[in-house]
Amino acid sequence: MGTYIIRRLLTLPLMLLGVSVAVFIILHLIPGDPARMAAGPDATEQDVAQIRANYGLDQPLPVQYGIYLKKIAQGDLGDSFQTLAPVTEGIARTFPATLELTVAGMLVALVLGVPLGIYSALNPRGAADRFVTSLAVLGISIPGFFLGLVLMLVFASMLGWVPPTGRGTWRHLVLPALTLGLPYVAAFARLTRSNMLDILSEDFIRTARAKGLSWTKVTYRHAMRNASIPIVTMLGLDFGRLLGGAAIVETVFAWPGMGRYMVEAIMIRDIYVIQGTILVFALSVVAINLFVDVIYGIIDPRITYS
Amino acid sequence: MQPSFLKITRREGLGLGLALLSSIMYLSAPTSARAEFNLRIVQGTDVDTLDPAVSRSTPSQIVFNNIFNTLVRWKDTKLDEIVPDLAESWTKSEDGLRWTFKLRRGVKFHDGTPFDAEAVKFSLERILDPALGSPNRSLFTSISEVNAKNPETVEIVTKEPSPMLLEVLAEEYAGINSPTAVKKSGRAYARNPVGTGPYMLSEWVPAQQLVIKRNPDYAGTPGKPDKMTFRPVPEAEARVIELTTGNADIALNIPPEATEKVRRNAATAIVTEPSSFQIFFELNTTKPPFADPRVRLAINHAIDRKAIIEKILNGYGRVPDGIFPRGVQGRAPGQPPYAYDPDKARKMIAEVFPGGYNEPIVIWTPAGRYAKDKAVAETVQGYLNAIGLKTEFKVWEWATYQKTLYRPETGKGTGRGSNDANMWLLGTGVTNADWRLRRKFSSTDDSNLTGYKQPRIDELLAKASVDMNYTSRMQAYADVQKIVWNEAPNSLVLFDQVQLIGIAKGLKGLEVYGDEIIKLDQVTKLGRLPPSGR
Repeated sequence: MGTYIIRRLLTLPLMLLGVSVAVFIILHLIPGDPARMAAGPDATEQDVAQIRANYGLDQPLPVQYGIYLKKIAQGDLGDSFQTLAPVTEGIARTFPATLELTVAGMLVALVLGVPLGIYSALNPRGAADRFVTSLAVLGISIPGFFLGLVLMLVFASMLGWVPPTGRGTWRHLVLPALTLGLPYVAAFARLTRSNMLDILSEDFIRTARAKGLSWTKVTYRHAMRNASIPIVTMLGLDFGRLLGGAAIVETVFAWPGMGRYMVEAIMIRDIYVIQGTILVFALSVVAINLFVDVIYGIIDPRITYS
Repeated sequence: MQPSFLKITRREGLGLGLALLSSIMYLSAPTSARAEFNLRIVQGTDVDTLDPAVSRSTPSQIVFNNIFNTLVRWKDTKLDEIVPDLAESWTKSEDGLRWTFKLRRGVKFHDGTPFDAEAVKFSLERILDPALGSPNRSLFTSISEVNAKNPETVEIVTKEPSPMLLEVLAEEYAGINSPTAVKKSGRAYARNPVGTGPYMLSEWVPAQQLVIKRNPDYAGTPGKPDKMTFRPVPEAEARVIELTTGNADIALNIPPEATEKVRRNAATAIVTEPSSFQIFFELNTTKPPFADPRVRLAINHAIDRKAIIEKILNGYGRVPDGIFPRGVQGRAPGQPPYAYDPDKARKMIAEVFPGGYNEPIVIWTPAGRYAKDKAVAETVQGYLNAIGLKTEFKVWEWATYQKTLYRPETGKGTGRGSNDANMWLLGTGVTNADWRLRRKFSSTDDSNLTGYKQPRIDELLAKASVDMNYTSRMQAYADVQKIVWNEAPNSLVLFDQVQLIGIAKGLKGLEVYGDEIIKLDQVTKLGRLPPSGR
């Protein structure tokens, strides 16, 4: 296990290098002039040329990449064109907010999805089962920004239970977390249900029941533990998707996170911000997958990495 | 011996004193314990920098206008008179090259640094320093020297007679910074601005909220709100909800389709103000069919602007009566609006192309940059087809669009009709008469994208740029406006925008400029009950 983790960690820099090359190439393939965007539509060509020179954007691409890489190695992700502030500062400010939102969204999906799945596995073809199926269709088909606005209209505008937008107290977190997590509730419920159904029909469950274990013990200790491996896998995979989905939710709810930071940067071709945030997103996805691998070993000691 | 009722023991004396004290405090309570007036504003975009010299976004300027003063300023939103701000008075030399400003005494920056001629010199030289990389630098390049004659006198020398100097100094970019603070903060100055204005920065969490509080030592009219809280809320619908739930007092940039909700709410209202923004198609004057001014005039008659405003913009727009909307300096009012007359348009084109013009006209538009830009452009395409023109249509993403318009191809130079389109949709909100005209009509300006070249216009603009008499200079600008409207346009003018601002009822004292800058320091709020426990 230990050597496996170390090996995974060693491939990390290589992966990030790959990501940085890909991002750099894409950024320079999409048209749009960062210097002009930075200068604003009313600036003169003279001003734009000045900005281009200040940021080294007049250099050949390989040189620009070389400079960028050298800076990364020194822990400098460059400065934003828009705010002139270091990108590392922007990421340090926005990443915790995004992490908070993503984890909260994940909790919503888990806390609602898993019990719902267990319940419908124990009562197949019941009302809960049908509910989960329709929820799954809704979750897939409703766009995040729409769900967010509907929730805001109902719970902030009509009922006044929570503030509409912003970040500060736990009440600010409720709506964005629900918007982010709700579409995944059904997916988690269905996965839990099908795994539970499979495992409940296994021999060892029958044995456990036969030897007189209580219903709770059979369901949670024996069945649930075995059914949770695919759930953890999905958790890892969906974490990346949730991070991405956060960009939309953050914009709707004016949540000061990294997704919004990135989206606003893309609009104005703020290239160092785009590069920096994508690197951190990639790093988070890699980290969470490594984490998931470690969790496997804890849940199921039979899993080893050689 | 004293009567016993006059005897006051020590303990009683203390009690009495406390009672007296508390009653005094009670009496003075209305001023000290009065509910704090926190003016809460939601904007569509976040503040990017609070350093005036490098700023370029309206949301930032709305905030830092409260923090900084300039030497001179516009008296009001009419933009026809410049009045003293940090400068008390000024004179210019006979040849128009030397300006002497007498500064106000006893003014202090928020950090305690005294305001003096050195601070003016420092701020202006800073923006002129290429190393700062200010996108606004070229506005100031007519200045050759700034001399601090003595603490209360500053002299500005220009390279050539510069009639626009006062207008430049009234721009928000020319805000005077505390030299001590700039030197101390270095690059972090954008987040720690120090000026002389009615408010000072209290807290700024980017993307979350920015708070400014009243400067107790302000030298001018003190601000009315105790503090102001600015929050960026990108989603327009969410801004409306912030306003209608009483979580905000002012919601900026309300889209036309959301106005109904604000109007219907008993506690909120919509303020409609003229905007200096005009939306138009620029026409490529370097190649057919728009090389001929008659064709450019003709298509201006092919468009039903009223229908566009009613059907696409929910009625929020104005049929233009000139190339300067209300809120632009030196506006020549009352040009006759172009009548919608497709037959006339067809005839005018037939005069130039008797066999009809059969090449496709290439139309470009951005999507999502201006109000309903793509829908408007599609409608215009329909009107052009209706008078027998063939068209090709292309929609662009904004960043790509801008780059393509300004730098069409490496080696081909900038602007001046060198791109592949015949017409492209743009808008401008510049309020300064000279910049607005020069960028669009001077044959030598890099921002003149249409390749427009009219010796008469060039001559008028050149003369105006050195004319030290304000009245005759404005007359020259008015002449330009008339010529390009009635004889030789370079645009298909579409509509003037209106600004829609959502406010809590009872809010007064908003000063709204045509370019969406809003002065907030004199805003008062009356008659609004505190939000009910939400």
